[in-house]
Amino acid sequence: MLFSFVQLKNLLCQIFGVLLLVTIASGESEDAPQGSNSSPALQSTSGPWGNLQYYEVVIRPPASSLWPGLFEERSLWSFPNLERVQVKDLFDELGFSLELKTGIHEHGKWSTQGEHTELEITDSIIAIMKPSERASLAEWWLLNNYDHYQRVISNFEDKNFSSISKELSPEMMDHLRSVCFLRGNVLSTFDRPYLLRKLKDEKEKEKLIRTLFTTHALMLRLELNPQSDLEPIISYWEAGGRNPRARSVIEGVQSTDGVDQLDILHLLPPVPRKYLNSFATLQDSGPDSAPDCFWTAIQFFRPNTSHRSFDPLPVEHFIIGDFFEVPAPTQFGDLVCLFDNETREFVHSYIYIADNLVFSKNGGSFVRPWVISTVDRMMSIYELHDEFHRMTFRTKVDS
Amino acid sequence: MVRLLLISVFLAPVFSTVAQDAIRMTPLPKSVEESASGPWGVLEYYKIRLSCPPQYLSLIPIPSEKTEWIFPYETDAELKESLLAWGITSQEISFLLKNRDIIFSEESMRVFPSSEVITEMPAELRSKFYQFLARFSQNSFHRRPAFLNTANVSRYFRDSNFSVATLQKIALLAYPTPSGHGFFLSDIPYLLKEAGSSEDERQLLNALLRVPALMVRLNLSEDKSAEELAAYWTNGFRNKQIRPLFESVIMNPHIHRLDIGHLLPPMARRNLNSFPDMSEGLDGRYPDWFWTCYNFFRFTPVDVYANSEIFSGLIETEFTKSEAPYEFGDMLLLKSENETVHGCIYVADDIVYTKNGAGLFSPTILMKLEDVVSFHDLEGDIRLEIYRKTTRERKTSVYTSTTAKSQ
Repeated sequence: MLFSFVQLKNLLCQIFGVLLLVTIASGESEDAPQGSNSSPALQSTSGPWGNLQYYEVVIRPPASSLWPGLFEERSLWSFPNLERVQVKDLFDELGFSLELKTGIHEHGKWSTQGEHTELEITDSIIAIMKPSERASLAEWWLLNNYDHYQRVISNFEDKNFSSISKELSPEMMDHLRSVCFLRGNVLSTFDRPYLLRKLKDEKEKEKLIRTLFTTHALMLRLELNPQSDLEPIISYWEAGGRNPRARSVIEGVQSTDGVDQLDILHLLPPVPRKYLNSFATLQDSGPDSAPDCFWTAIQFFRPNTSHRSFDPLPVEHFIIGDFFEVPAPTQFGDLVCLFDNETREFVHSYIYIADNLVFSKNGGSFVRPWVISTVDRMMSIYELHDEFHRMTFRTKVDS
Repeated sequence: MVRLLLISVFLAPVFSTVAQDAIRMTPLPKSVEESASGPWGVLEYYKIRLSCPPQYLSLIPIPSEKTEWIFPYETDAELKESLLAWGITSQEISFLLKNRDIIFSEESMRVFPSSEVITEMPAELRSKFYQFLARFSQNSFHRRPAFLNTANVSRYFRDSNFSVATLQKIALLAYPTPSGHGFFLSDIPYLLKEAGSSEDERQLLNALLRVPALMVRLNLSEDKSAEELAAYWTNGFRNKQIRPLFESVIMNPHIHRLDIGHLLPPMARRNLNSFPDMSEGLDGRYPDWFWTCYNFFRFTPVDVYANSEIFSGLIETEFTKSEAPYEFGDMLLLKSENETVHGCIYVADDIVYTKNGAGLFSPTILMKLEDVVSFHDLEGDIRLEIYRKTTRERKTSVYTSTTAKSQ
């Protein structure tokens, strides 16, 4: 097989899956690319799937999906297996300015937690830190302290903060912009505690956290009219017998006067229909895993989900037997897997819906929902890496 | 003849299971209808017909076209006595038993009426006599007849490609329901006489098994506050999962209608307009009405059924008997005397979420409440009881993991 025999899918999917395309909101930060507006207006696409119309909506996690760690108000940097002096050397390697190093020296509070050296950062240090310094530190955490990286990082997919800025005050937006940084196309911050410290009201803090994890989704509907040539459209959504209920729903809609649209929800198989636009719960999760892109993709046509995909097994364990490879995603429900071009390690996966529309869940986080989005939005987060090795699989009908 | 009868005995119960699940409704209105305005907003709805997956049809053994009535009696005298007690006259009894064949077996008598009796039976007698037959579980076509919620039976099958002769037969064989709302159809075996080939039989079954369902959407153009609508559809805390999407959609000026599939809890959304998957029967049975009601708000379903030992205990401990007005998610129990014959979930206005049979051929759908009542009202005495899910004190967030990932 061409793809990885190393089981890194969970880790890598969580790393890359969460990094969503953004462009920075203003010119105040260095490295800020120019973004485009994410328009809420109607868009459409026509093809063998019929005529699909779609809108963009934003989804924020409910308060019940938030956990206490998200509300930590101390800015802590964690460095595993490094002494304090080694951490200072690391700052040199990361390209920290003299001003920043001086600020850390004068105001930082050092402590040791087991084999971790921790540094508590004050507002004055945060104020002088440059986006490039934040980016290099985040990159180091990503490679050397992934647990810490996961805990502190927030990534934004909202170009120009257009949806976020409606929810937050101008002052908070200024604070937010001041602590954001770019890695490639990915806009992130690890200074959530700093932002929380600016707020007194608990409700405002909850709103901030919910807003920081805004996810964009598409609401799709299939347009039908008496002139529509139904058979090819039905054939597309039935996906070669994998989704048999599509026919009666489409025919039913077309035979009703005054009805020319069918929400895509009714054309999805049971599992994606259950999860679309919603958030994972503990009932979906294992002791050390939560549903991610691969969990989502391999169960698209299954009647029910299984925690088997949480088990430490190679990707091909789930592919061989249940899927066969096809040249490219051409059919509703095709599973697309991305592998690192050199190592062939699994990176990400998603389900092809139609045209440039895909179904996926970015990462294993409780604050990221299952959504339909454009493949461009999803794929653009990978631009900071080399081309991926892409393989497309189709579910065997009798599997 | 004996061989034919043996086949009939063997196949009829299997086919009748299918018949039990079949709901027949009015000819589909060719337009969108609108609900009354209420705390749910204004709903728009229309009917579609759901066909079962094609592979399911091949699972159905075709019953004999020979109609069979089964009585738990050993003599003609016992049968006539019971029919007289039911209000059927001696003259009518003579008509029913004219030219019939009878097999006496194991404390029952199996009567095979003549074709003339089937076709010439007056509607009023048919209605009365078939209610009598429905008392005995062996008469499954009568115990759970197809329901035609229409004033014009033949129009119901307009899209079915049936011949005029078949449509006329169906119109002849349908009989008024006890509630007076629509018709029942029990003589499905007799209709097989109209099938000229096995392919015709499948087409007939396909037409009979199609289930009309409501497609419902919330009109967002109406003058209702977002908070009021959200309060109704989230039902406080019970349906919190839908709130993030709802908040966003309602603020989007480009979205004027939202399919209420998006507003149902995840498990209910998963099953909406779906026939059970065969895998759901791995434990020996498919979801029934109580499974559907009990799991409406549950993210992960629990396998409990209307005849589970814990049925009464669950209703007592997890539900509270309530009064109108209904709320989103209320469980409505249909009571005939002291027996619960069905239950469904109230959604909005007069629309409910229901699974009307326990088998593979019964999808989970949205229906008008009056249609659900008429479908299950075999005795004409259905009354409703409202049960509301008991609110539990929420002690803490379910997400307490300190290592949870944030991105």
